[in-house]
Amino acid sequence: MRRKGIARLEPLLYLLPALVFFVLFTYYPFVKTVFNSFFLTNFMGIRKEFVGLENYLRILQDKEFLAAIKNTFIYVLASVPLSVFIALLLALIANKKTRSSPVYETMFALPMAMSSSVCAMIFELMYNPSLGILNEILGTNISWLTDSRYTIYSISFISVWMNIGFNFLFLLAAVRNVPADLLEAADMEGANFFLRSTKIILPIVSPTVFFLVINSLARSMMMSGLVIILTDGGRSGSASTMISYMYTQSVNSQNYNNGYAAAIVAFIITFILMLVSFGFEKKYVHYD
Amino acid sequence: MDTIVRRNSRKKVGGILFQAFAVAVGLLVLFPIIYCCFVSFMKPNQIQSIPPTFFPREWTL
Repeated sequence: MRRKGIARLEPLLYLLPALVFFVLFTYYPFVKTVFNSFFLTNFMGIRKEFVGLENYLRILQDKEFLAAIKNTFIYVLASVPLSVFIALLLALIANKKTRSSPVYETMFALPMAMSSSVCAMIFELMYNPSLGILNEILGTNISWLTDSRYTIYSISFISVWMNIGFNFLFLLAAVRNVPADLLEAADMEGANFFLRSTKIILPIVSPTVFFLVINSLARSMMMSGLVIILTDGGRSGSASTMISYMYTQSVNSQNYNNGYAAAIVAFIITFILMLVSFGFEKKYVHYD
Repeated sequence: MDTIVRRNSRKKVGGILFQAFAVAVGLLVLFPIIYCCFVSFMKPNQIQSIPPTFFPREWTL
């Protein structure tokens, strides 16, 4: 009887160290942030007075935060579908194993190996209005990182480029797992590349596409690094995202009141988007 | 027999062209890294020259 109890307890004990760290570094800070967001705090982030929803009402009337929400949505809409779509195209190109396929597979996956600060440096040079190669190639004279009309799109492009490699690897594995007999049957029926891709390959790889979309969505909603490195929040916050707003409010201005509330609003918006995405899963993702 | 040989050689040429296309797409994907590598071999005055150039005029370490 006692042995049975120990046997039942054993797997839980193995999980305990991970659980302790998870609670300590994920749930505890989250709960504390939620709790603190209802208080006025001093510049050290220490609670002083309970104010209810006042912090939320203040940031939801702050034009800078509203612009940050809009920028985050633009960033997500521009970067998530594009990075998955381009990676899918690359996976379809690399699907067939040939003698030189390892060469271009590596080329397609390589952007994954770049850290965001290195990418920021590379693109900062490329985006430079006078010294950068991009304006020279396009024959334009655009200030990619300082003109508020282009900043968030320029940053989205960097993110697309950085995510291609990761998405490509997952999609290549999925595309190569499509049963060959199905594709042969489609060939015999006279299906062209487009029909084969949309009617056979895409439904079969849809679970992988769904995983990548959810993963990219969560990471994009939390994006701040590129904005902080490249634009320091942009001119008058024109390129700031929700998390970069939270960072500048908390770290640069020591305004933890706005910082805590912004973090929770960002969490709620991301959570709702996730729920909506999981709603699409039932309709468009095929697991059979 | 002739038709089979012709079809095979056409398939081979198609395969080579496809692989060349894939490598070209790979080079396009890697463009920022390749550009950065070339810039790293340029002299400072060339990096700051207008209009910007892709290849180093004089290679330097």
